[in-house]
Amino acid sequence: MRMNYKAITASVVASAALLFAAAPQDATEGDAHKHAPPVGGAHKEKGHKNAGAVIGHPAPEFTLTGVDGKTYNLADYKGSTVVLEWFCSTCPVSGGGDGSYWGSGSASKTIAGVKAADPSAVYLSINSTKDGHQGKTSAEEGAASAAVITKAGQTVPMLVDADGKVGHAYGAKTTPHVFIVDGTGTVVYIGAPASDDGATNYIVNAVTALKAGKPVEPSTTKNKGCGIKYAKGQ
Amino acid sequence: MIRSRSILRAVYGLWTLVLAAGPVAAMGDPAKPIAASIVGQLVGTNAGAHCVVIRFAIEPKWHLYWSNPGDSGAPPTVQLTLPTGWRAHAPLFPRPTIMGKAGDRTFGYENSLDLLVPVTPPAGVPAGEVARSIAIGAKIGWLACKESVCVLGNSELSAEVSTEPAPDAVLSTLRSYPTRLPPSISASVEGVSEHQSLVISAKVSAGSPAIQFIPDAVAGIEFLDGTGPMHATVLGDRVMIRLAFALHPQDAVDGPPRLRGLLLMGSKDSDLAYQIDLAPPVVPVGPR
Repeated sequence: MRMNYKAITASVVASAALLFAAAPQDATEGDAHKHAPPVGGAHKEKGHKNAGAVIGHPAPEFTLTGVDGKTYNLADYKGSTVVLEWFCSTCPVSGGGDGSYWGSGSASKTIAGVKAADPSAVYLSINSTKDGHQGKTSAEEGAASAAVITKAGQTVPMLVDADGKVGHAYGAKTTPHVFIVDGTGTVVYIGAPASDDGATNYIVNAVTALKAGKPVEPSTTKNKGCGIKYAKGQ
Repeated sequence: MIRSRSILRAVYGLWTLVLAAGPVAAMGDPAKPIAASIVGQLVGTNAGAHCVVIRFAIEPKWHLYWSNPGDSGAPPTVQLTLPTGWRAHAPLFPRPTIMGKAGDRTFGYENSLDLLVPVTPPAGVPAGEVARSIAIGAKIGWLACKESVCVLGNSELSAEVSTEPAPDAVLSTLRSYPTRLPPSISASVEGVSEHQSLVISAKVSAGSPAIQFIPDAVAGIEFLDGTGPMHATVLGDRVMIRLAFALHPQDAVDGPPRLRGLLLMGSKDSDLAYQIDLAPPVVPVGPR
């Protein structure tokens, strides 16, 4: 109870950071993860069911197209730490509005911290919102998301996962929801970007630990935010 | 109403929460889905706590979240400002409604939510000398969602709150506030090391309500069966819920992690709910 109280009282309104609490991430291990099947793009495995990424196991491979038209393949980043952040332009916790992770400047601080800790680290945003959500096509949602990032003064690629296969492969539930993959392709962190009060940046801490060859602790925190609006049937 | 009142008193032990007193500092834009207020009277619980009541009026179709929102969402946050010497403790959430479907399961509240924040008077002050009313400030934040739309909201409230129990009171909702497990229900940890399970067992008879468990979100505890709810299995005259969990002390943020969650009796919001809160045995844990 004391722990909760600290978390709650330390977190005050009007900032999305206060909604990112430290708590365990539900993750169900499945054999499929151990083999890290490729999903998305040309490598999709038809009919494959996956409950989500698992700490200590290979990250699900993917190939996605960015709003910039480029192709992004996780395998291309082997040797580098990769931060994957699920994103939605209309979610007030993620990219929608001044109080969001992106609108409040929290994302920019995180990215600066990541680059300072490890200049070779890669930060990718992924949008798994279904086509037609709130009257927007996936392309329009992707463009709106990229615009949020640009407005924040960042150049983070925005990858479009309209069919939701990559999001499901990782078990992404919310925006934001963060997965960090180390240079060997292993999942080392799943959860929120930062603590409720913003005092602990889990992403920067993880990248810093990896750079120093140390274990990532905590490796899981409770993700909070808007539920990802996946396409039906996925 | 009388029946409701007696049930609330007898079962949940809440003394007071005066509707007549009403919100004393209603705030917010009417166009927003949530209106938060401080109720002008402390309430008591059967555990002896006195609580400030933060009342949320929720527009139809919108919802707020439990302390563990489930697959998505976020719980309301409360930061109280109290007179010198008074202390606030962790909020008490009432039994949540189970919403959504598997894979997008959430726990929360529709229509209204009374969040109880236990407060304690300054140490050393005799009960008879506690101030009859105190000035309370509250910074409150929330994430409210409706279908595919979510909004962040916040309010800064202030109120003069009576510390004296009122003779007649009812809660704004008939929701159950979780209480301690009765002797007829046991909760324990079985297994060792990486193969531990929380085992909840209860004796039942014909007509006993269905039992479900929903885990709270605690850093360092990973329930391996997902978000929940987990249903009980009938074994003769007993029902049992066995929940595999993994302990990750390195993920804990403030002391050893505890196994926490709610045991939900029946399916209605007003049905009983029991708090599970156990300290798992400390065992060496290897890398995942």
